[in-house]
Amino acid sequence: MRRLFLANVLGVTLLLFSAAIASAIDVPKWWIGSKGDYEKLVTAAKKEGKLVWWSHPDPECRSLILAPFEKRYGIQVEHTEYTTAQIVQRVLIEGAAGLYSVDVSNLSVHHIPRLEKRGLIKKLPYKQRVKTYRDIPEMISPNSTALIGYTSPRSLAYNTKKLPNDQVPRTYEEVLNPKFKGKISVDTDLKEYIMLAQDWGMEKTKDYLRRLGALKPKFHPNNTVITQMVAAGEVLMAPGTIARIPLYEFKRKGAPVDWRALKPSVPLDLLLQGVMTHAPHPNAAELFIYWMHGSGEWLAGMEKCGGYGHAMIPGSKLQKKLEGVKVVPFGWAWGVKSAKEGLGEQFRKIIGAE
Amino acid sequence: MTAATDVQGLSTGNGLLAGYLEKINVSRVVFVLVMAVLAYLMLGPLLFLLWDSFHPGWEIGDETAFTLSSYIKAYTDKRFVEMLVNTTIFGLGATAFSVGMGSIFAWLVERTNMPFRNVTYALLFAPIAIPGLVFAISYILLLSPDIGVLNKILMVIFSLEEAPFTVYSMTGLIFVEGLRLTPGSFLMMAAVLKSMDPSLEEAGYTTGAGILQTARLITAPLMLPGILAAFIYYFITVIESFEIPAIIALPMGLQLLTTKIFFATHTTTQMPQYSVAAAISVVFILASAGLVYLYTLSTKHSERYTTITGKGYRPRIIDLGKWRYAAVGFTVIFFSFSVIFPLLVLIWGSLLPYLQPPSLEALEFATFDSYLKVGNIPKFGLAMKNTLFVTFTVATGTMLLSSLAAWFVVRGRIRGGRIMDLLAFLPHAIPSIVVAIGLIIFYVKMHRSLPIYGSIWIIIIGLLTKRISYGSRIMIGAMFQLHKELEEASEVCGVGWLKTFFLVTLRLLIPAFVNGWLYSALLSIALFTIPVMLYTPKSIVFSVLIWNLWENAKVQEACVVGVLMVVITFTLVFVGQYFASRARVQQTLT
Repeated sequence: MRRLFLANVLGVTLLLFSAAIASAIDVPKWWIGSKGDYEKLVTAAKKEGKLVWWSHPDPECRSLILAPFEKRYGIQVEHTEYTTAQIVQRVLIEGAAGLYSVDVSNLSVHHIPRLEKRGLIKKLPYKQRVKTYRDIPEMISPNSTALIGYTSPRSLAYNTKKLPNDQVPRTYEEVLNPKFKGKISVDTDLKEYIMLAQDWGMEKTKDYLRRLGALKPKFHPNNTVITQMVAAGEVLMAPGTIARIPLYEFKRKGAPVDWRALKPSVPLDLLLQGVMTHAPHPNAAELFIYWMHGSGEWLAGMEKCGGYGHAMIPGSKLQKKLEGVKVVPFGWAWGVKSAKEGLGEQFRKIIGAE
Repeated sequence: MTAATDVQGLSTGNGLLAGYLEKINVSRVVFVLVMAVLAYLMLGPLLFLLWDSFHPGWEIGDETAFTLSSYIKAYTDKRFVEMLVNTTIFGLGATAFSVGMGSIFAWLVERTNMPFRNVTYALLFAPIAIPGLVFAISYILLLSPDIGVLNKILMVIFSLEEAPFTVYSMTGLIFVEGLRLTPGSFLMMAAVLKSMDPSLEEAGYTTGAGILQTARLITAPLMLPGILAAFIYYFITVIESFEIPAIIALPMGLQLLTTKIFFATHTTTQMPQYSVAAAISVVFILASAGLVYLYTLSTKHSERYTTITGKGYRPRIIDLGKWRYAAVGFTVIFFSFSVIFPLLVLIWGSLLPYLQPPSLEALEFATFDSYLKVGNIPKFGLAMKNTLFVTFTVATGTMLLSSLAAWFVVRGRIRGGRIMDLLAFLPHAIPSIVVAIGLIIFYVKMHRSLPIYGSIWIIIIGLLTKRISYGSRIMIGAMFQLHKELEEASEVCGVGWLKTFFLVTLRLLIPAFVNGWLYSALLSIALFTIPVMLYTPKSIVFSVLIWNLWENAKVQEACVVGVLMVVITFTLVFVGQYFASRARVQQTLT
């Protein structure tokens, strides 16, 4: 009898204790799912204690973008810097062998259907859990397996010393001025033109590339090299440069570089984040990806570091900067189609890079 | 103690028959072991390359049937012939330049009394430690027609209206790549010369031949196997390289085979097509196989090249007389281009927030802050620790395995020596990125039984696979010059094969071993393609750190780490020099 009494007391105490813990979890305003779901997710995520994130923001930004999450939830984020190509490669090879080491990955648009087909990327109720995802549904991939973590406009980088402000082209047409012959750097991935083709159509894009190729641009394979060449004055400008690191970093350090969004339309590259189906820390990963644009802390950190931003989020720095300009985001379907058809290779042949 | 006394001392009094049996058994066992290790290291990437070239998408888990589509895509490109011609010109030009220069410096450093030889030796290593991208960019800052400092100076001095030089040309490309590869070929040739008895050269002088005549008629022919080995190795190195062409050839639209490989594997707009890269690499493999075969034919009568015998082997120094100063002048000019200018650009870059042409105006931005904050670079300490471990392990493993393989190739009377030679060389023709992908696939699949994936060992295996080709070339070249009479003497005294190998053969080849060790060590520090594909947060190394810094526009920090790599390089070189000199002194005393 006494044992039964003690057991009951212990049970009630544990129940009250659990309830106390649960009630200690504040449900944030950005969470639009049920309170119970949030509490359950947070408790499970805390229990996992860590997550593995493969992405490519500068490790120095780590503290700015990850510290709020780690502090709030006590979950350690193990970040490794890989390119999206490296990430998808590893995820596919590991997946084929049944080995899973990553929770959240940075990906490109054309990777998503491939990962979905192999069941390697997790479908999540983004729009039912987070206010931002509900309000900006185009942030979420069509099958609700990934979200747009940040966006990068491709724009004209130019040398502010060698090219006076009044001579900096304002439109794509002005870039084709013969006086710039041999003074332009072009990124060999030509991704900006793949994006622009959505807006311009294929014929106009190809014609533009032919005319740009006639100006004998210098082809460079890497964004830092391109920005370096612009900063050193080896070229006057580089259309299609990613308006983020390294451009921001060089400018911050006093290099004579700046960027301008060319008219009529600015291609907007999308960098995605997705939770892996077999994530070793599934709850921490899920919480992390909801927090990402739910809390606003991620974007605030990103904006302080290397020019990362999100043009789709109202009020963000990047959205303000691109106000009044026609933005052409890399369409989900277009990204897949262009990869399948090898548009990059076709365009390189037209411009004379390959 | 000399090699001969070692042999006597080690003689245990076993009968000749017992010693012979012991030799046969041990050498055969070692042969099988070396062959097994080489096959383990080499066959994986080779088979992966061949399989993948016929099964596109297989490497990313696609179920694909046998197809020739990758070959069709690679070889029916409208510009394929142009690429092939450009690649051949580039390969021959840069190889001739680097091997030619490497041979001249090897002769000057090892055979003559040119002043500052030790400094020359140490400085020759510096370009290896300078990151390839920085090395190439430094030549744009020097020789670009628009911003090149040297061009500007020459234009002012000679009142020229146009820049006299341009780095954006095939000549410029050959020049820069040749400069970058000269240290490696120098080491190959130096190893050959260090192990070569100059008594034949002495005979030449006695008969009245001058220095140049003796060099042409005696030294050069004796060095032939070494020169051929270096030429073959560097030809493949050049045609496979991309770092320099990326900065110099791509901007001018010059198409090379590696450009095609780069576009197939480094794409942000579609899935990488490793099978196309593999199909192109088959050309490199065939070229390698053909060159190794030619090499085999040309060194068929290897005894013609042996110069280290049991009779009074003693390296001697040639007095250049008044030509000493001409040699110093030539060395200074060469070093200005190959070491001093790029090194100054590296140091300049480490003081400035971004690379810019040298000027007084730019000097205002100069600061040593990055040096003071180097410890704050994320994972710097871990990268340093891992780099040292990887460097030591890869260099030592490479040279031990290479030395054993070289013995079986040159000396072994066991069938399969030539296969071993080919096996050791072919991975050199496989692009590093293909090797890395092959390793990922293999070790991911093997993870449960062999948990190497994700550890530092997969990087070590990858680098070892690529470095064996160099190590084996350098040791085969040196082994050709070692007469077998010392080993035979050892055999007669009843010393076992293993002891003879380590205490006689390897000891006489220590200079070549040290050179090979140094170069392998330095390349293990500097090369990034394999580590960047295989690293994890725990196995990060310097080359990956530099690449990540570069990608994040931390050019200044990348240059600081580059400068530190040069410092490590010099330290390694001086330590290596010390041991090589001691070995030489010991040999001379005997």
